[in-house]
Amino acid sequence: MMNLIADLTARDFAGYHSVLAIHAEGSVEAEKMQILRSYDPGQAIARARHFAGID
Amino acid sequence: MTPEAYRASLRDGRKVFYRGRAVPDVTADPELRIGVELAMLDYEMASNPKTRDLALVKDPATGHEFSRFYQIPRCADDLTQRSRLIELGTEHGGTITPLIKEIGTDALFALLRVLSGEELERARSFYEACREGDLAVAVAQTDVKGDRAKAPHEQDDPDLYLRVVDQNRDGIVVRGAKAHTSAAPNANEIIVLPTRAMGADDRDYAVSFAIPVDTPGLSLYVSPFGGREPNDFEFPLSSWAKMLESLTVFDDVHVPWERVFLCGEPRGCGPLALTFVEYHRFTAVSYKLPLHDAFVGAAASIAEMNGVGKAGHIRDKLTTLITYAETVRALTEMAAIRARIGQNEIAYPDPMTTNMA
Repeated sequence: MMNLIADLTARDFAGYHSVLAIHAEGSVEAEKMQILRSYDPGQAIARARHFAGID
Repeated sequence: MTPEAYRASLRDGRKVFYRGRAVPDVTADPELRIGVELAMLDYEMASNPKTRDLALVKDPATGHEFSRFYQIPRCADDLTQRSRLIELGTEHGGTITPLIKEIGTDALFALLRVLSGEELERARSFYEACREGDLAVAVAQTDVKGDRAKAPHEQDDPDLYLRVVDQNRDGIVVRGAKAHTSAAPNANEIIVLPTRAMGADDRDYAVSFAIPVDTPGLSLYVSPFGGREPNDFEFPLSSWAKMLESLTVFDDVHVPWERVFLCGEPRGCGPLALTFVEYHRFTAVSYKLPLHDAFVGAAASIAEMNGVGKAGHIRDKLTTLITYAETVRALTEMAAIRARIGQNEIAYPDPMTTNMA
């Protein structure tokens, strides 16, 4: 089990996984952009305006 | 294909280089063969009675079975089952995904959604050939890029992004390189996609096509990641869980028209790149799940073995790890449940939920 933990945290294998987690299949920045772009704010804005007494 | 048939299919005329030497046979090379053996897991899942029901689907029209990876998703459940297969393959791969069908089919689905007319027909024909041949398909998307503040046509060296240098009646000729092409050294085919949206002046760089790995003019320079560690007791995963990747160089490579999906149309680049990642990020979160389980499981196991499983601060850390792992799992499942239907009635995972995962 300690050898597995070494693989997962302290060796080249762990470094490789760290880089994959950040960069593989798209950077974190690209993912954030996509979240913002895909989000439909309609309901959230309507609720905020309603709670604020604007609508 | 059987796992052995897949392995044999890699012994073609491909030009592979590793650490400064030519590799005539990736299946025999002592370091590169372990990447081949990991990729064989995709084919082993189909032949193993315990996993074949997940790994294979049946065409309702013909009764013919083919790899679930090649099933075009039409509904939420198709995506859920696809995610489960990706997760299972990665478990078998010791947290490293075999990737020889996962990424290729992500690209194929994007092509089948975004294209129209003649290009769509070519993509459909290519898709059918890959499905019927049960082929291993890599995707070359990332260009070398150079100065990232400049567009492809503005670079000092015109070859920093892959481009079309000639066209004739038979096809196109391409020159340049793609970086970090996962699984290319052990794939049958490579699909090339644009890496970014492009403007009108980038028309030579607006290109997408597919070629066999043993195409003349194509050379793969395999990166020296890892290499074989001495034994699997001290190195339980890193001794064998390895994916090969290459700098993929196109030295005036000829591509016949029937394999060309995009050429000289810069406006098609952005949609193609973005649609590909709608699938590929879902693949990524699916393949992360066994790694997260490994973190939780290793932490829980070592705490018990050390007799500290009941300590308050240990339980707190375990809870954090569990929350992380299960949040990603829940969002991955939800991304499939919230599936949307795209062009040509092809389903895709909800983009917001996928990116949150």
